[in-house]
Amino acid sequence: MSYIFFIIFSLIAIVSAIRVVCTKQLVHAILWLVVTFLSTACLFVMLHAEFLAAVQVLVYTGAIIILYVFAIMLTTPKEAKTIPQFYVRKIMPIVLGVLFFFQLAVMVLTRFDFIGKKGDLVAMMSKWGGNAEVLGKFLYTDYILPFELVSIILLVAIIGAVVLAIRRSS
Amino acid sequence: MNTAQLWTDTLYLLPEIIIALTGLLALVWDFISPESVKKSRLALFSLFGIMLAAVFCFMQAGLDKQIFSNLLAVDYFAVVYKIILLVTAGMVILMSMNYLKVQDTQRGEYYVLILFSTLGMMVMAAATNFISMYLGLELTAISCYILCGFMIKDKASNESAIKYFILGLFASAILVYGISLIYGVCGSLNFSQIQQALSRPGGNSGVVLLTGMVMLIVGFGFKMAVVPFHMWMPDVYEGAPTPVTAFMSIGPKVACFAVALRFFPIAAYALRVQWGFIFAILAAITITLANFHALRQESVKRMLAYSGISHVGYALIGLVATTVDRQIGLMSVIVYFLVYFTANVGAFGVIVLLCQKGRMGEKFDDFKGLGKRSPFAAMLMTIFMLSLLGIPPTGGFLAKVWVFAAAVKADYMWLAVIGVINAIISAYYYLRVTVMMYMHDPEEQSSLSFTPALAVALYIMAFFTLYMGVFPGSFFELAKKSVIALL
Repeated sequence: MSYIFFIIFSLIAIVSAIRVVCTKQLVHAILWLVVTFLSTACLFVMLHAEFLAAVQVLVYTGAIIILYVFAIMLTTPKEAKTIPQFYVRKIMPIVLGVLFFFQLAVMVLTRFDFIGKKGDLVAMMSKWGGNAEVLGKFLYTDYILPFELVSIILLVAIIGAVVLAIRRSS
Repeated sequence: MNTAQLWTDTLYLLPEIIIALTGLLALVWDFISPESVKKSRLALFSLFGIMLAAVFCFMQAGLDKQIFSNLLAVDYFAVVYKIILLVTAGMVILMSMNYLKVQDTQRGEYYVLILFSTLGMMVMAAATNFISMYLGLELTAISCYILCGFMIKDKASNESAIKYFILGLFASAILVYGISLIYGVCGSLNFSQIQQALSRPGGNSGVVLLTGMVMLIVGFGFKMAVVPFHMWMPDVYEGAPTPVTAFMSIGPKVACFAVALRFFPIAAYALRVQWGFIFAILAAITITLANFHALRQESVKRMLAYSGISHVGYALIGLVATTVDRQIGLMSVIVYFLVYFTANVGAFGVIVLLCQKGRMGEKFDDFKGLGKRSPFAAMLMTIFMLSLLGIPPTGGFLAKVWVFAAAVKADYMWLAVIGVINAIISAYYYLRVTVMMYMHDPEEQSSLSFTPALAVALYIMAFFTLYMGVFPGSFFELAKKSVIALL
């Protein structure tokens, strides 16, 4: 049963992702992106990563998409809202991209030797009560240093926005 | 990890914490102080923080610990690299005090960004895990994007920031993709656990692993500006404010190399045939192509950008040599960067000195007659150029000899030959600066204003460039100790 849903959601994700890059209208591309994000969120739910799914919907489908829409609204003039389609210089990137795709596909299909981390997550989730709890536990103990670093990265990004966007009258 | 462990680990992190606190305090200070307060005070404050962090770094020498659940290492190798990075940051701040005044963009955030960028590089130099490595890389990169576009009224500066930003994001994406593949195969992001996974029987083959490794090399190659991935660099370096260029031509490269030295010869030693081959080819084309581009430049800043690319190529020769003899190879890279960073910071410092109101001082023509206008500046520039070229008694000679010797010892004779030929070709553009300074008449007569800060920076760099050439013993000892800590 879950296998069928996996196939449905993956197909939706892939098709809409292709639509994102192929569509002519910039705004349409963004709407297709929403579909991609949502179906990816569904895949996360099926993998028991509920927190990640929620973040995917809240941050990507919510905040990032709004940001894109605002960026288009505020910057581009009307005639520039369509993306130029096929032209000769694109052939090389397309060929390389297709080649790379096939390499990755062959790689995944022939030697499925991913180890990753299996097992301990489910046990920990049942111990602490859920996805977000396990994440929080790790973020504030083992991974406290990356957590603090990320906060400084965000601060730097804010400083950057202020420095580059706000012009002082001097 | 319990709380007591957390506190002891925090103590080992003191240099980084000091830099972060200095940055935060400088930010607040800049915000609350009235406009009339001189920004040079902020620069001195940042400098003080950097010196304090360097002192604590020195105190960590000789330790060998893994902190924060194996995310960072505190060892001799990290200390040496952190000192290089801190000294670079300090010199860049000294240079900037002059530059920002001349360019009339005195804003406190500049020093804050330099500090945070240095913090990111220090984390990279100590990282033994891909998570901490990547976060350090991003912190460094994001600060550098902003610093590139810091002169918001200058078109070239804006262009440089946008180019760096967009291409840098691609590089990061490729890097992270590669890391994810390696994680998939090895089951860990920790370098020592990756090493164990790769040394299992049959653990060092497979398409997934190799694809991940190649993507990792592409990502690093981009950040270090190795040749097929160097396209962004000359424009970015030319457009960015000169002290920032000096900073970027050392910091991110040195930090990336620190990670590469921790990862490739140690953790991925089982894959040495594969990455050794890739890096050997990259090194050869990097040195050659960058050299030929440098020959045709009319701007000294752009020439130094290309020369920086070729120097990364020389350092890559040392990395390739680690496939056979790890100690010699690693030592040669460390010595190479010790030498390269002093000469390079110094050369950019002289460009900053030439930068006057309405004249950027970046062209070869601007160096005409410098020998008459300011004999001292000309002498310093000559020392830096000779060191970059690799002529005794400067440090550059020893650095090049070591790298080539390592290559010969590792049976990469052809690589050493390519390196030597290119070193000879590079004489043209390095000595061209000297010719301009001494054999042409000055175009303008105005004397140069040596500010104390800039003078101090230039003297220190020139002193170390010569000192390393004449008394290299202590620096070899330094490199040797850090390599032993690594192996």
